[in-house]
Amino acid sequence: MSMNPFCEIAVEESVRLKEKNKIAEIIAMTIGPKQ
Amino acid sequence: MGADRGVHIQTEDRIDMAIQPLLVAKLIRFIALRDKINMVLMGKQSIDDDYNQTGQMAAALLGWPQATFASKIDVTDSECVVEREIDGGLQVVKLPFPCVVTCDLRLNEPRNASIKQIMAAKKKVIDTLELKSIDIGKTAALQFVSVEEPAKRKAGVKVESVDQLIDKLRNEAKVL
Repeated sequence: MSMNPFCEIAVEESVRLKEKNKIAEIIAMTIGPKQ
Repeated sequence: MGADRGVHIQTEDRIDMAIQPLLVAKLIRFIALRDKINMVLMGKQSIDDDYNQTGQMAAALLGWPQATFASKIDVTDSECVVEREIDGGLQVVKLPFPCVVTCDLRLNEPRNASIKQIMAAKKKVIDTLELKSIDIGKTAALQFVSVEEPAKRKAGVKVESVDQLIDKLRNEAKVL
């Protein structure tokens, strides 16, 4: 299974915002089968 | 990639059929309220269904402002500033928090996770819950009527003369 490309872009953006100290915490949410 | 923790809503339902935008939007609302989220950041659409609905619905269910197709995002103490790609060019909007932002292709190029990040990810906490334990309306509203491959392209035909070409265009393809 791979991440939806647009969602991957969203996660990347949240990581960049955290690196710039603009946000405090990143919570990644997913819906699907047990891995 | 670098998230601090995860939430995994487990289900054996087909994620490409039963798990539809409205349900996902309701789940986003559920978690956003439960964990007191200030900003939902997500892709504009998925590449299996191409709905482009979930973010918009989540914002409406939450009663939060939304900015879709973000190509640039900035965060200040009091607001989120988003540049959006629209047909006519670029639009800049400011939203107070909490808000929903959906991301478009040109926002960034994801970096590969470093070995350090991959190792760190193994230790991060994932909060797991079963979809069936969450009390929200789960009836799939959309019914799949059909899914088809595009019609296969027929092989081309070689003609021997201009007359033959005109004959085919007029009588077979019926475009003359």
